[in-house]
Amino acid sequence: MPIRVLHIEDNSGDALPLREMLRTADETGFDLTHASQLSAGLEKLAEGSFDVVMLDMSLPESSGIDAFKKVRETSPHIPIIVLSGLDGEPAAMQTVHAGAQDYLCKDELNERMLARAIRYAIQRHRADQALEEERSLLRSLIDALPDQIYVKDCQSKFVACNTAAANMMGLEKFEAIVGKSDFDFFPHSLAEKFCNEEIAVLSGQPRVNREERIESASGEPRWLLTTKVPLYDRDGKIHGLVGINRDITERRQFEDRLVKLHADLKETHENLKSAQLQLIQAEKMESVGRLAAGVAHEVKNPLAVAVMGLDYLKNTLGASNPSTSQVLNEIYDAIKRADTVIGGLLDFSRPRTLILKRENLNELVLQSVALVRHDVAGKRIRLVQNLAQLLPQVRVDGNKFKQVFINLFINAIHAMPEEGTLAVSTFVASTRELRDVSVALPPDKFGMDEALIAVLVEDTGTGIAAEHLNKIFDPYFTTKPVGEGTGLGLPVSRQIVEMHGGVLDIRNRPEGGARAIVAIRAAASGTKIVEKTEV
Amino acid sequence: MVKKKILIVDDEEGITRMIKLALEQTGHYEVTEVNKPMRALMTAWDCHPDLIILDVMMPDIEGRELAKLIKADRRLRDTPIIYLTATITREETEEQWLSNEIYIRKPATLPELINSIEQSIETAKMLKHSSGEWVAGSE
Repeated sequence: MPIRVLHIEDNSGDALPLREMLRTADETGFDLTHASQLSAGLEKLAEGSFDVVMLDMSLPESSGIDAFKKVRETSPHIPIIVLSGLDGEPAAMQTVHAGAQDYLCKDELNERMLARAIRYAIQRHRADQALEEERSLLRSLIDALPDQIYVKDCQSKFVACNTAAANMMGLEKFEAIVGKSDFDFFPHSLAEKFCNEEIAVLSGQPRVNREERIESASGEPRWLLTTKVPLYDRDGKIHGLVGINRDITERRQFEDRLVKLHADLKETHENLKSAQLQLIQAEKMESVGRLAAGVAHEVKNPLAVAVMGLDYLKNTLGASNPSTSQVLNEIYDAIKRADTVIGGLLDFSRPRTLILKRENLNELVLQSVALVRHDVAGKRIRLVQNLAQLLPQVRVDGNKFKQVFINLFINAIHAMPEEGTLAVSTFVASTRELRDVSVALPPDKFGMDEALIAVLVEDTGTGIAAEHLNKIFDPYFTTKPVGEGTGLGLPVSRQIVEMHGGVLDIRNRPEGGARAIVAIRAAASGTKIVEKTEV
Repeated sequence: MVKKKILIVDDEEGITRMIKLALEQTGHYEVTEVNKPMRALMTAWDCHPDLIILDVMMPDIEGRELAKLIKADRRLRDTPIIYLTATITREETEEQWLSNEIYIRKPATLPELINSIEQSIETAKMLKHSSGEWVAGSE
C-alpha cells in the first residue's frame, strides 16, 4: 500500500517538484495530496487518514511553529516533517523539540533523501508511540500497586512516587512530591532516622523487608514492611534510590489478635485441664467412698464376733496363764487397729453433716495444738504460733476443722523425726497474694481480689518427695509404716475444707520442709446463725 | 439372783452365738438367739425378754422396722431395745440420746455391751414407774 502523504505548501513552485521527486523515487510508493493553504490542509487532515504530514514553515496564514501546533492539535498521532528554506532553520529546530519527526531544507532535497526521510519519520513515530504506550502501561501498573513506591535522588529528595505513596504522604497528586524530603512529611526524629538509613543505602547497602512502625500523615499508627535499594546509572554509579513500602498494619493487627486468641485458648485449655483433674479426683473419691462403705460393713461383723469371742476367752482362760492373757491382749489390740482403719474408711465415705457456727480460727488452732502436744513430747520440736489479732470469724464446723488442723500438725510432726520447728500462723490475705505464693485457688470459685482467712502450717522436716506430690490427696496413699496411717487423713481434710467452700493447698517450702495452707472466706458479718447443712 | 432374759436378733449366727456365750458366761443373763428376723416377734412372745438387741441392717426387715412392730405390740412395747450397728459414727452416738434409743457399734467389747444393757433396763424401769402415759405416748 502506498504511503499517504499530505503536503501543505502555498508555493506551487515548491509543491510540483516535490511531487515529481516522490514519483521518481518510487512510482507507486507514495500517494501525495497537496493543500495550498493551512486551513485546507487541516480540513483534509480531519477528513482523511494520512501516514505523514509534510508542512511548509513559511505559510502566509501562520508562522512556522504555530502552524506546526495547529496540525499537531488536529491530529496528534501523525508524524510531521517540517520543510524550511535556508533561513528557516532555527524555527524548524524548534518544531523538532516540540515533537516534529524531522526537518528538511527545501533547497537540499533530492528524490532518495526525501523518500528515506518520509519512511524513517513514520518508523520513528511508530517506535515513539510504542514507547509512550509502554510507559503509560508501566505508570498505570505502578499506580495500581497497593505498595508505596518512590524514587529519591542522592540528597534523599523525592524524584517520583506512585499514587499509593502520594496518598500515604497526604498528597493529592503524585507530582507534588518532587523536590520534597521526609522532613516535609514525618516528625523530625523519624525523618532523621530515615535519612541516616538512606545514607547507607546510597553507599550501596540495600535494605530489604524490614518491619517498622510509623505514623501516617493523618496521625494513625501504621506498620510498614520497607525495602530500599540503590539506583545505578549506566556507568554503575549510584544516583539515587528506590523505596518500596508495604502496609502490613492489618496483618500485624491480625497477628496480635491471633497471639491474644492463642493465649486465651491456652488459658482456657489449662482451666479445662485442671477442671478435668478435679473431676477425676472427685470421681476417684466417690468410688472409693462407695467401696469403703461396703467393705466397712462387711468387715465389722467378723470383728464383732472376734471381740465378743475374745471377751469370752478372756474370762475363761485369762487368769490361768500369763502368756495366754498376753496373747489375748495382743489379739485385742490387732482387732482394735483393724477397727480404727475401718472406722476411718467409714468416716471418709459417709455423707457428712456440718454443724456450722461462727468460729474464730485462732481458737480452733489453739485447741488443736493442745491435742497434739503429747505427739511432740520427747522430740526436740519447737512450736511457733503467730496468730493474727482481730481475725475475722468464719462459719465452720469447729470439730471438723480441728480434725483438719490435727491432721496437718501430725503430718508435720511425723515429717520431723528428731527435731525441727512447727510454725502455725493465721492471717488475712487476698486471693491475689495467695496465688502469688502458688496457692491453687480455682478461678471459678475465687475472685481476683477477694479477702480470705488463712491458716499456714509449716514444718522444717523432710518435705514431700517429688513423686508423691500429686498423690498426697489420693485416698489410701500413705508413706507411713503399715498400721500407722490410713492414707485418709489428707483426703478427708481436703474434703472437709472444700465442703466449707475453702481450699487446702500443700506444697514443699523452697527453704525445705512442707507447708499447708487452709484458706476460707470470712463469715458474713452481722447475722448469727447456727445451722446444720447436709452435704 | 434372777437372770435377765435377753433376746438377740441378728442375721449373722456368729455374732448371736458369741454374744450369747459371752453374756451367759457372766452368770447374769439368759440369752435367746434369733437369726431370722421375721421370727423375732414370735420368739419374744414365748420368752418374755427383759431386753431386745436388734441388728440394724438385716435382710427381709431392718432393725428399726422390727422395732416399730415390737413397740406396736401390747405385750412387748415396754421392752427396751438396743441396736447393734456396723455403720454408726460418733455423731449418731450423740444423736441417740435425743431419740431414747441406744446404739452399740460393732465391734463392741463385752463390758460396753453389758453397760448398755443395764442402762437400758434401768431407764425402762424408771419410765414405767413414773408415768405410763409417757411410755404410751412414745409409740
